[in-house]
Amino acid sequence: MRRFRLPPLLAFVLRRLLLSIPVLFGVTFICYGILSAAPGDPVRIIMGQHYDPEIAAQITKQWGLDKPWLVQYGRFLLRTAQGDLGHSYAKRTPVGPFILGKFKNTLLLTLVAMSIAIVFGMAAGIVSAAWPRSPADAALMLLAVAGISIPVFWLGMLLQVYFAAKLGWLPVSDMSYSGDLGSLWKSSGSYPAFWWQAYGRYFVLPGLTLGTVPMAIIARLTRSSMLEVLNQDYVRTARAKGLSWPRVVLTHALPNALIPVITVIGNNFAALLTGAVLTETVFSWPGLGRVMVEAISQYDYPLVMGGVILMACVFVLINLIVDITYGLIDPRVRAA
Amino acid sequence: MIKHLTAFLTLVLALAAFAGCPAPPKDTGDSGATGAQTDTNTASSARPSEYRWPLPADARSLDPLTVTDTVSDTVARRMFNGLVRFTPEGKVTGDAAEKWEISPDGLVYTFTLRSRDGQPALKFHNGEPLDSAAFLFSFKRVLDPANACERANLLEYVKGSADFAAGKTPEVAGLEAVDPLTFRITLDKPYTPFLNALCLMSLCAVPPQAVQEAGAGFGDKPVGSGPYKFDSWEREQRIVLKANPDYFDGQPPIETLVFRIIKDENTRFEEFKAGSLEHCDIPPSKISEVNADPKLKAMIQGVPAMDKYGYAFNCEEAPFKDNTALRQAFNYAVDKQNIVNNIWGGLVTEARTYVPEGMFYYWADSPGYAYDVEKAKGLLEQAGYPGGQGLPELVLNVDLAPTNKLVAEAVQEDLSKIGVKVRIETTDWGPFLDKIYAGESLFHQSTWLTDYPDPDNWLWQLLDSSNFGGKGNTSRWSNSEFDSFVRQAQVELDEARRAELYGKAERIAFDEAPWLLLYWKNSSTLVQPYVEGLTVTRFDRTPQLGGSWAEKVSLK
Repeated sequence: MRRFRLPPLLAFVLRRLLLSIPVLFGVTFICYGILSAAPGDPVRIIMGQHYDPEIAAQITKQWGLDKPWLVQYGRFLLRTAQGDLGHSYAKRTPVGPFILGKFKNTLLLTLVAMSIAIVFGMAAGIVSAAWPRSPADAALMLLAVAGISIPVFWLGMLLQVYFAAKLGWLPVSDMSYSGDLGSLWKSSGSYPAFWWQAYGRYFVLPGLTLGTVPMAIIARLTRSSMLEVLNQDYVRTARAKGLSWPRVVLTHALPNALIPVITVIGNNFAALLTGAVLTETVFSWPGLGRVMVEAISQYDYPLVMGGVILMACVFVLINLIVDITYGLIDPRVRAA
Repeated sequence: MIKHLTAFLTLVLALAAFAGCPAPPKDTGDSGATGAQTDTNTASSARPSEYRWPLPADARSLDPLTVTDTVSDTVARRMFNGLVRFTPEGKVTGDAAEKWEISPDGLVYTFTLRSRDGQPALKFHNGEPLDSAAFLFSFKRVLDPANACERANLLEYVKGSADFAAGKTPEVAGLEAVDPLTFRITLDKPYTPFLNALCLMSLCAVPPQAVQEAGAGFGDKPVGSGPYKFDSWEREQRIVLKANPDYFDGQPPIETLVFRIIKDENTRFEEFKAGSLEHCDIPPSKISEVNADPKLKAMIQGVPAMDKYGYAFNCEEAPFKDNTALRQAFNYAVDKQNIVNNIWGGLVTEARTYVPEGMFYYWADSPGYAYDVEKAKGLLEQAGYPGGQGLPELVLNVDLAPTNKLVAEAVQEDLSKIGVKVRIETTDWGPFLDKIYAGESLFHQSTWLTDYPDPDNWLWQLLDSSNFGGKGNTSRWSNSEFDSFVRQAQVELDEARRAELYGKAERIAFDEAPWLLLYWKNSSTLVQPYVEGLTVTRFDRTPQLGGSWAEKVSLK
């Protein structure tokens, strides 16, 4: 009798998703343990200068903080399994919708930043590798080193002071137009102009700021990976057959040089998605990173845990996508 | 392969461009009533159509029940009315109540609500009347233990409040809706600052029906009665309020208030310079830039605020226990002017008193502790530690704010000049509070922002021996004579007599020096020249400016 077998890709995805369940358990358990062990009482922080022991006891009981932490963790798991991430202590709002809203903002910014990073980073890397030791190579790699070394918040502030405050070309901060959209629509005339005024222009500076580091990393990695491939015999063969240099570089060498680049893109993507605290702070971007840092300092357990679960899921998913992408690019990986 | 990659990148870009993208608003015919605004970016010469108000954090909740922080207060204040409220000068004036009477024994407060043709003049934005029943509902809501209201203690002197909170009675004996326009409060014992407490946000009226319908979600979409109505709230980004055309006092001149949540002080400053905020605070690192620019300098408004920054000695532990000379020595040893000028660029004011200026009582000619190293050395010797000998290294606890660390270092250096060794310990806010509330810190940062402009909120709250720890007295100093003065002042109705009592109490505290006095923060604010009618007050904090009347502000 023939055993039923899932298509290999689907089986792979399913196996990986099942494996992520213990990962999530582990992550939440460790985080909850650390939070509970850390000194500092959330009720005290929330009450600030109006601390009253009687009222504090009421609130502690309402939030279930009077129970041992394992019981609290158990309740948390039970609630989470039912799809309820609880109410934030500090924000007095359900954690789930709140955190998804902030994640959406971070996702948008990350997509813009990574697009900038991938397009310009790879282009720079390819040009550098195709004409190594040329002036273009030197200039691009110098820029890349600068890009990796510049502190993000400093770059952000510099762009802000110059392009926004001084020249007035772009908004200083925020992620969309704060005024009346109706009158903006009337005064802009066309949809692209309206879109730019209401939305698009707010992405430029933060996207550029956030994209700089990954752009530089991608450029350097593409270059070294390409150089390795360009020294191989099959490249020489392709050249000998009379193919043009750009064609050899783009169609023969590039796909083979991409694997390490994709890994790095994936890692950077995940890192940016889980919060670009500095960029978000400088540009007042209502994203996840800033919210999480604040939640940790305020001992906002439900919000921190919600964020941790989301971030763990993001990492698991992105790693999965990266692994699948390997297979698409390199048949040898798929076979194995 | 390249095709795949190109397709992927195109998809990413397209997603980035269009996800969450706003649809063009439907043409409603007359949406440009407030005037089209073409560009908010360039420092605008044209009058903006809305007031863009920076907030250093997001509001916690817009339900008066849970509003205890200055940020939420700033926003909620525009939408709700209490019985009474503060004027910008800190005097109590009628809000929903037109007038009130206090019985001669100071126990019964009878409020008459504003009326028009025999009906309550104020209405909630959903049409419910703001009558005495609404106040009764709102006050009971604050006292109900199921709501765990942080400010329930504001009503602790109301007759029967404890029984109600314990579930013994369904009604609060001291709260009575006599008729739709009359609300009566009876206290257990006289408590003169009570009117001040009634001005606070938690005791504003909420619409009973809307609250019952919305449940816990009321704070996300509040319904108030004030000059502005709730419009929208993008968490962590902005809150928008619209003028209430039916407000009893007339529609406010500014149609739209946009509260922009900008956490970074430098970003707020750049936004202000770009003309996209109507006011903002001055970051300490930008003080010299502001002072050097005559245009910016002309836009500064500010007064010393009722916002204290100093240190407290733990008077229950050696070496500070029972050692007034030592505590005085520390006060004389620190060069306050150096901190005021060199760390804060003159944007704070040296503190010479325990009660800030701006209330009915202020010790205007207090000598303060003028910087005097020799005197400090003498006192140190008198305290039993000549030249600092015999004193262990003292740990000074402060929080993580960078400026606070600079101040701590200045104090450390000054104290080393009289031979006192200090080690600075910076701690996260949470563990910091744990430590000072539990009395585990010997010497620590002590801050206070006034809740209401009455010396009671300072002397009784922060130094009475019944308020040790989290309630306010973190120096754990106790003096029975002082206690008796501040407690008498709580029940005394005559203002002149109260001032006298506070004068006596403050002199005791000043001489015994449970605090190391440093400075009052200033509410220095940059205000655009086209903003009219904005007065920055003493009991306000920038950039929030919750207490300064936005209702009467206009843009010329």
